[in-house]
Amino acid sequence: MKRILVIDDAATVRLYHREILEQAGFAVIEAINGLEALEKLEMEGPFDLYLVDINMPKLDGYGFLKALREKDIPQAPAIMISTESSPRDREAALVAGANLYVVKPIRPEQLLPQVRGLLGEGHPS
Amino acid sequence: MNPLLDQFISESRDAIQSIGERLMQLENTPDDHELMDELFRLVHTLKGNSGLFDFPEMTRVLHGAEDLMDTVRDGRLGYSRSLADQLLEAMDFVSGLLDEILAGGDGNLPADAERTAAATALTHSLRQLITTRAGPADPETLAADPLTAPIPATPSPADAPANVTSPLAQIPETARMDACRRIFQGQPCSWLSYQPEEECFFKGEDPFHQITQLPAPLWRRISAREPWPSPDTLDAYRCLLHFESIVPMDLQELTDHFRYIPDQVELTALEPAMLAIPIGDDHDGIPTADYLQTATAHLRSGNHEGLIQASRLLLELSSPGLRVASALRWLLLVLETRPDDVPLLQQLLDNIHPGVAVGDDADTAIPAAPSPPVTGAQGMADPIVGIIETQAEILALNDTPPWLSGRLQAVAASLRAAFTLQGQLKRLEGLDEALQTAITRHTSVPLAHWLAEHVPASASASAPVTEPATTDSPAPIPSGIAAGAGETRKFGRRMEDAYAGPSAIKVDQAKIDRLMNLIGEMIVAKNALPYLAARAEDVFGVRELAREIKGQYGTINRIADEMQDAIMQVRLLPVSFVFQRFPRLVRDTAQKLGKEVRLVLEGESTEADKNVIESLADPLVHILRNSLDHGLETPDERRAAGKPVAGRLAISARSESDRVVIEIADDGRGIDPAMIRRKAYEKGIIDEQALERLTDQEALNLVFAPGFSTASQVSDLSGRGVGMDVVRTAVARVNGSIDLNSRPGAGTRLRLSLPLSMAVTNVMIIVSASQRFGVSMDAVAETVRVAQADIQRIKHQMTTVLRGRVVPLVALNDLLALDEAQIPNEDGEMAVVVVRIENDLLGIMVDDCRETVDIILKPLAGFLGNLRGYAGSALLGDGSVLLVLNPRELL
Repeated sequence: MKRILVIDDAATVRLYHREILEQAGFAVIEAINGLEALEKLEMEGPFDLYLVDINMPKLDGYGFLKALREKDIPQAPAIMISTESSPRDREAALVAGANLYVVKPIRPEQLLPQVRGLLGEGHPS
Repeated sequence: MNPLLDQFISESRDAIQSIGERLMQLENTPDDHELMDELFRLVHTLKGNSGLFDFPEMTRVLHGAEDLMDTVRDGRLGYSRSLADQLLEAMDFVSGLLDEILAGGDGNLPADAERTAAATALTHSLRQLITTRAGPADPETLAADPLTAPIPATPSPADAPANVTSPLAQIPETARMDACRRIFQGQPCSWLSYQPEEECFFKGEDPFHQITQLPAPLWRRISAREPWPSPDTLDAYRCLLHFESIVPMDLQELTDHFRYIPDQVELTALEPAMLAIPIGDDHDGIPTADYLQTATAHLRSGNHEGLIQASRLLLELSSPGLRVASALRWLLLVLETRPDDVPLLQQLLDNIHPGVAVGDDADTAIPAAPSPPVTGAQGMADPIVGIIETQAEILALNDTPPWLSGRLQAVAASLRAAFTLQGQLKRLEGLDEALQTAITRHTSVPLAHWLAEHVPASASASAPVTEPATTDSPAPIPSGIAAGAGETRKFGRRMEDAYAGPSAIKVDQAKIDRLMNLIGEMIVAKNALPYLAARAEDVFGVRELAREIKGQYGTINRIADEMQDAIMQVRLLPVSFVFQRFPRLVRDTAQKLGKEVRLVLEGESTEADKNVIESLADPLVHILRNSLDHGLETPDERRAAGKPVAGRLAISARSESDRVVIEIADDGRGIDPAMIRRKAYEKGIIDEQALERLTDQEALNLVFAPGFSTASQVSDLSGRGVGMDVVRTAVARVNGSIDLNSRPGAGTRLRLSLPLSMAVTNVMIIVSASQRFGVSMDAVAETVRVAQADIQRIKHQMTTVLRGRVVPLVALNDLLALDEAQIPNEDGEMAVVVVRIENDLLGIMVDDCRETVDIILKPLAGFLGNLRGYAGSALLGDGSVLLVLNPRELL
């Protein structure tokens, strides 16, 4: 089973993603901020996909992605999830190491094909 | 209710709570950037979460709040009281919605016009704060700012025609006739004019998506609100579009569709009369006079056939581009479908009257076809194509950060996955080599080249919005083939044994209460064992068994104690649970009273049992209100008295052995004992004698007397017919005590002392008139034996001297009206339980004092509830009932 690390400080959002992803047959591991995500990475990583929120306390999504990409581990795709659809934010996410930039609110029918696409698994739609 | 909604509500409540706290903190340190960041993030999270559900009003208000906090965070707007007020109001609104959602139970929020209006107003005032304070000073620029533009209310159908006539007239006649026919057939049609905010793209709105989500329109036009600037100055992210459309929907559905942005749309339910606007050139050469005469006559007499014939005749004579012809076509349409709509027919005939220009100038000719489709930034393109394009975009980034190698590997992994999913494994040839070269040379170029070769369609890599490239039909393939999947397992555990559980769980209070009740029963049940042991020995004469039972009792006793302790720990709450409401309460109340108050909270982390903490809430609120209302002076009075303008109100909590002590102190005007005496006398609480005899402290304590209220006028805040006696009763109910200190002019201090826990009570068993009673150990100061010779009578009062202090004595049998004398022991000594009531000692003579036991006190119920001399009853281990005395009430 592919393991997805969901990083978001909002418990509601984590639960939301967990439900979508688990129903689709993925394993979900949660982290409440970038720092905890790095700890999880150390303990249980690497993961097959990262779902990263931008705005988080302690270490934000950009910070996490940069740290992840600097690590000498097998690199997996990351989806940056944001509330801002501005091109500036999008570019910053791609620079930091995201492989996709998705704007909230996220609907399952939108997220799942992208997750599957980045995992190379299942039918895309 | 579904767990997601549960989670949402609980997280939202926490967030709202924190927002309130942060705002209060910000009031003291308005430049604390960390606090602002945190505030912003809280609001941001709240908004993001609400977007997962269909609560448009909530999202709207939170969006406004988020934008406002963003402005503050950026330093474009300073923190101010009114800003805090607005935000707090917004949070109250959201809080109210949460209540509604919770009450609904099914997670739905039925539409409610009032609520929508409130949300709109609230959002508007939030936005106004942003623009009035942060906006540029130039009034013209201000006017151009869409945020300041007055938000037009959705037009009601009554005033709609005037608004709509001119835009509708520009719609091609065929489209309007189409709509009209539909309406005649009973299908609703509405007019939509939608002008998205200029910054809408930055708010995650997608106007084109909004429009395409609607059913196929009968007509649609997308135009620019101002002339397009030249390409080099064009700001592609500023939305200047204006959407106009006739949509086959009724107004309600349409309003619903745009409920998130009601201020950006004008919606009108269409009626035939609005659509039937003849347009075209005027021409004098048409013999309309005769026709009009005939037609009017036919209309009056109801001769539809005649009217149709006459109209057709004139239509054939007229050139189709003329306004007359247009009017006739409309007339015929109405005659075919609704011949009895006389007012509409008359309206059309009036248009034929020569010289009347209604259809405006024909120069504003309508573009026949709508503008070419605008592609949404997040188009509905194939997700795989989107992934590949984004990777191309990443490879085109012109930078070399330290994490470049990681980035390239992630891009390669993404591409590998995408191609795999497309079933294009052969395309993957060379990817690894390209990746290696790229990493070695520390540049994206080799990988970008590889991608360009393998996906020609997206060679123009840098374009963020590209038309979807044609791709081969994606064929699902077994996931096992996924290239590279195996190598990522170098380290790390398998997921099955790596479930990350939360370190804290939330438990329903009722479950903890149940646990507490059970352990309470257990403690009482275990008390039966010593009785059993005694019976084994005395009645059955098996001493061996008695000893074993006692041994077993020791073990059970220890476990039960530990269990009780553990459950107590779970039930402990910090007093901040109650304190956290105070900053807001004090702030609002002080504002209402026009006073300035500095609130100081201390010892918020002091813990006590949940029940104790909860029972504190109301008395504390009452005390605070009293302090604010009666204690603290207005700024002017304070200035005159030489005090700092802002009053100080301090609430502190600390633990003292097994009790929690809470002090509420203000530096206000204090309480004047003379005034208390006078009032108490006026109200008949004390008699003339007492008036003179009472010490100042005793006088102060009169505020706790029932029926006493210090305020000469009942005020809106504290005077609710609830006096300090209610506070004292509430505190006494949890075995607490309260005392009051005050110095006129210097301030007042109230001290509450409460037990840490009140689930299990330790009582002493006493015997009097051959009956057993209990007295709470909290009240017992000591037990002594007093020789009968040492009991003196002063007037009618028995007293004795204990360590140099005169203590009044009463016989329990007298207090309980039991007709028996107290029995001394063999040495002629009386057993005396010395109890402390407030700060006074009182000796209660009993026949004997026995052991102390832990009991669960049950208040007396029903008619017995009126017996105020008893705190309640408890079941003893031997099955008998123990009545527990309440010394304070006994006297």
